[in-house]
Amino acid sequence: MIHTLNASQLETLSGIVAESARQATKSLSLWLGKDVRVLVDPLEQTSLEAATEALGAPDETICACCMRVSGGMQGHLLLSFDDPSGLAMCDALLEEREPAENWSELEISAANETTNIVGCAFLNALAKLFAEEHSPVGSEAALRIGSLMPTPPLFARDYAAAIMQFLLLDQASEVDSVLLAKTHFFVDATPVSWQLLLIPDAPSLLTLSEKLR
Amino acid sequence: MNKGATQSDQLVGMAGIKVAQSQGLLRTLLGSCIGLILFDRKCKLLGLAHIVMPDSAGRGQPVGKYVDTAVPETIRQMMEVAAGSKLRLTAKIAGGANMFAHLSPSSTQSIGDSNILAVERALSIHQIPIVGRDLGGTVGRRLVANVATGEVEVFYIGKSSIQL
Repeated sequence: MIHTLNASQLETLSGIVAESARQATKSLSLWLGKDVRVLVDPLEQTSLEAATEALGAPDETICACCMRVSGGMQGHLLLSFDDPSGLAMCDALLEEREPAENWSELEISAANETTNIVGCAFLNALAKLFAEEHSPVGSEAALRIGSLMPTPPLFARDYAAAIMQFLLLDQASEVDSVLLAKTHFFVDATPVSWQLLLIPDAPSLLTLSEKLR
Repeated sequence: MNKGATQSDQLVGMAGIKVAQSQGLLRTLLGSCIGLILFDRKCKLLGLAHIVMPDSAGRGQPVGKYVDTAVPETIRQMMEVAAGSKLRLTAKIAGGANMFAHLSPSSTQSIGDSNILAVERALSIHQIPIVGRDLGGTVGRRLVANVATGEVEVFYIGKSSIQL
């Protein structure tokens, strides 16, 4: 079984993921009423241990809204943030009130809704771009990943390493390295501590490596 | 117990195994993974394995990743340090949470529980008694083990720590 992507495959996939993230931020800009930009690092295959630090230091407290993805590619998609960045995002949405200091049901709901919007936009763009980039026009043997369906997001506030362990399990069962892209978000040109992570499971990694040959 | 990092304070990463003697702290962060602490009081010898999956299915590498390879390897490393001294090991185990449990397909949902069962079975085979445990649930754990005493403190976000 092929579980790793070569340099050419990684470059192609990196371009698709980066463009999908850029398109998703358009939805996020509309939703938040602010100018949101994203820079996406090239995809890298990294060890399980290194991947657990993708969201921050292992014992750092982070918040994450996580969706399970099914369809042509399976895995998890999450939007994570530290407390100040996450609560500031909620304040931007829930105007005309005092700034939030803690996560109540209202803030959690706002964070989940934001994740739903950016997540769906990201997955729709990913599926569309994949089809455009890799499907010969009119070909029945289209190299499509098909539609991607997310579950409603679930919120957690926990240690960064503990959250990453859950997300990496689907890949960890089959392989010892995982595929990861780091994102850097800017709101009105100011960097914010948000991360959008897509972690396909092991069978989807295999599918990707075959489709990108 | 000291919560900060010191020179003798080592972090054990995913699929890692570390053995230390006499003094210091070994730490690890756990979600669905299992933290296995083996301790010999006489030698003040402590081993910590951060185990990810229940069964290697013959893969074998990395040895710290799977219950069936991590348990014997931790014992082997401890015997190596003990240099012939007979070890009387006791075990403490923590972890095995189902983070985002409602998002998990059935296969993933059971990994935390499968890890717990596999560790208990492996320790039984090696006749090592389990003297402390903090398992399951839906939240992560930060585990700090004292090499000199074998004491293990488990921290959670937003609630008090517990001693194993």
